[in-house]
Amino acid sequence: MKNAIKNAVAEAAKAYGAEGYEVKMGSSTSAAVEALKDDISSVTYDKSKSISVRCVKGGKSGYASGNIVTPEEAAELVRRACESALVVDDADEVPLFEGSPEYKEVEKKEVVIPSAEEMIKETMDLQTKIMACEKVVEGSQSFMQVSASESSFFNSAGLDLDYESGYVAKGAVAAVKDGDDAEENYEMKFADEISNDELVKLAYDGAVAKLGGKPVDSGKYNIILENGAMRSILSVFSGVFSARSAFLKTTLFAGKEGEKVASDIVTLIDDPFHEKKFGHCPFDAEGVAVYTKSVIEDGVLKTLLYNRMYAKKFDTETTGNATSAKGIGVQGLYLKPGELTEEELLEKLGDGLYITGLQGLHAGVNAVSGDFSLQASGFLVEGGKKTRAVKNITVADNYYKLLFKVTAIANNLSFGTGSSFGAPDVMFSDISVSGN
Amino acid sequence: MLDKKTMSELIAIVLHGGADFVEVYSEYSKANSVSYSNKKIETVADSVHGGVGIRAFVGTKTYFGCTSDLTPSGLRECAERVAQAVGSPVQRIPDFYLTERIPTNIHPIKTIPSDVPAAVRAELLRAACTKAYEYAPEIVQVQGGISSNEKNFIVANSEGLYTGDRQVRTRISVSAVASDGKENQTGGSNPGRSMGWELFDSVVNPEEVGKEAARQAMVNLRAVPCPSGKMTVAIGNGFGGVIFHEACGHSLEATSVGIGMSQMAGRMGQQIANPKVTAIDDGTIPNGWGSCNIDDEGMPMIKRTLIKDGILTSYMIDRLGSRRMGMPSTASGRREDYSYEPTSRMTNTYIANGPDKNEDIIKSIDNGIYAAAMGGGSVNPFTGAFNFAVREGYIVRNGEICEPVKGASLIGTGSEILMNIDMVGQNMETAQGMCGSSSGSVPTDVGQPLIRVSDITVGGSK
Repeated sequence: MKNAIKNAVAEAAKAYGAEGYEVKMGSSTSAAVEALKDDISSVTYDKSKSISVRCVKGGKSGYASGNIVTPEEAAELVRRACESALVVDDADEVPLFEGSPEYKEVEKKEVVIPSAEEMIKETMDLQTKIMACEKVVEGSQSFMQVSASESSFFNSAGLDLDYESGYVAKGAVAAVKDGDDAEENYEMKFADEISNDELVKLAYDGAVAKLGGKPVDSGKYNIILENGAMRSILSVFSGVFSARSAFLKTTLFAGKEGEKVASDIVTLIDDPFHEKKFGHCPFDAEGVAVYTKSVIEDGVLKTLLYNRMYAKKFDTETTGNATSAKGIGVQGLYLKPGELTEEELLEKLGDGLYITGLQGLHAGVNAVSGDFSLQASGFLVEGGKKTRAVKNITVADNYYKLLFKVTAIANNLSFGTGSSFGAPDVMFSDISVSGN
Repeated sequence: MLDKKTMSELIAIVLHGGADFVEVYSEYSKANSVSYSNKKIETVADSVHGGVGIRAFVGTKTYFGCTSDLTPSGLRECAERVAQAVGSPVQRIPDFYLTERIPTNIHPIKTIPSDVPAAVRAELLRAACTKAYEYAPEIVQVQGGISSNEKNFIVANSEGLYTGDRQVRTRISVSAVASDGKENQTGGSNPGRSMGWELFDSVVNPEEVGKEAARQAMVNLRAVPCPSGKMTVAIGNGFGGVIFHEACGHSLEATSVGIGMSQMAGRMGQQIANPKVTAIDDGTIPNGWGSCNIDDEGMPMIKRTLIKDGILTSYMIDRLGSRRMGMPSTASGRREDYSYEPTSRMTNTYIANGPDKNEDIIKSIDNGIYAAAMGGGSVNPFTGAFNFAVREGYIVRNGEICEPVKGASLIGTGSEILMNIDMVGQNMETAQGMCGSSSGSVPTDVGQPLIRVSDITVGGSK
């Protein structure tokens, strides 16, 4: 199929007068089973494809995409991309990419989609276990997901790359009640990371621990963000490192390379191949080989993240961080872990808050100003021990200031299941909390 | 899109697997976008999106398959996968005949946006964004976009339904960044409708959109950090309705009510809100952003009164929710596209005008916040906990609107805030949003007049 598409694109590009083209194709097959109460609630199967085309005409780029992948549709995408190119103001300042000297060899992870019967059996085992827990209510759910995908990239400069990946994941949602108090907790892990018993225990214990939560008094607190909450913060503010944002003046890190932007113990690394991260695609959306680099080292901003277009504008080299059309994103951004265990970090905190959940991340943050105000939940910490659950509070600060408030970092680095962000537990001083 | 015969054959394959209900959804959609940043038209892109989703029920269990491989073998494989998952093969299936129903078109469209030349679309966007730059020298960056979407679908099921709709939506958005060299603040405006390109002839003036984005950014640039704690808050009309959408609307969807995961389950006929609150979900508002002629399960669209004078009068129910709850569908089944199973969703949801004069609401507050414009938010329907961001807010002191504040959010629980809405004003307006849930992202309107919440937690950084 790929060859038929390549031929169709090449012919159409010639016919519509494109000076060059770049094509990304993807296909994936996935299956999922969900259980609710004492039975399977849904079984789904999804087979999908995608294609996106960039054509250069008159020195400018136009884009078109679709999910019906046939030679005829591909030719039509070329026609529309050529039309769009003529309307754009921005001239391409870089020619199509001819290829990096070398691409990292990555291990192929072959995933076979199991039969519905096998997946149902595995999911029901989880569901039976979660429903057997003491305080759970009917809304508790379990699920299993399997996905296998392929992506490929080719362009008129002769570059031709392929990548395959896949995963098997399972999860549980424990909903618990104690009197009028209701809580839920969601856990999802790769299937080879954890047994069903351990996953259910993690989900259930997490939900029960949240019971009895109430706000604390408003004020300034020293807090720890649990690794998951810290990942969320890294993720929503990741745009501050984008050279596109710097060019558009929407990040305060514009022109700050070499300056101190965080507390000395902060080192942020963008590593596409970290062993704990899912997906190790060796090339970015422009076909550039990806690699590991420090974004912040010992509190000093070392580099922003570039694609080829913005690298040219800033007279530097791409960092292999191209995403979609003209976009820039992280490959595997994580905060370098410290030496302390989770318990030692709590002890160091002494009195304060241990924040496990942050909500409203799509709304309560201003990625341009750095201001955030987020609903949070977690635990009150007194004398280095978690003493009770806390909920319905907000934590508010500013991302740029927050980076200077890091006072200690634990050693429990974790990437979210399928996430491009990683973090350990992190301690901060003097954070605004509103509650009572 | 698939013809009637193919859809019939796919339904029959899955019925042979032992399902008691089968639905086939065939979609072909086109989307176009133009984007602007840094004083230039940055990208022009369009996409074509199509596929087939096949869903089966056995009681309240669902089986679903979808594919973008529309070859006869690709479609057959998808149907057979679903039949195998159902897993109780039967020799004889009930007779069914697909009978076409044509829905009444209450949202007429004049000009298909994808047929408007990209250069024309680009110039209109440029005019809107230029106005934002012209508003003040502190406006250092303006980004904007115009997007349009045309969704065509046919839905057929084993009860003999065969119907479809063509839904066209157009929206413009402009966001502006104001900077004094030390600090950046933002403002935005993004109106849209279920309309074609005629949106810009009659309803939306693009230059006003640009000005509004810049005005809000400038207000935020001179704003002071918001105080935190429990306060009385007045919430402005339009997007202020996100408070109801998040704090109550989601809890009334069968998606959560039907599985006992909502605080509102089992509360029909009870007082759940202050008697001044009447709330409506109306998918029939002509050309409304969240309007449709039929839902994605083929049911003709209706208007639902969710809360009447504080009393819970209706949930929002889709076909699966109807089975789970033993109540009829309210034509609330929606999905982003063929690759999602439909579930109960809102359309245009708003708090109706109430008895209080707007000026009396502000005058009644001694010390609190006026949240003139709200941002998005989220809610956990099980615990009722919600939060949302204030995009433009002011201190209210002794009944007067005073200095602007930044970095504020409102948090609480749904049941609590509904009772605490103790004044309802008279300038109801709707505003556009995209709502995310298990069936993907769908366009919804939120809305309300100015309201007063007697007591709510304000999260600020002061």
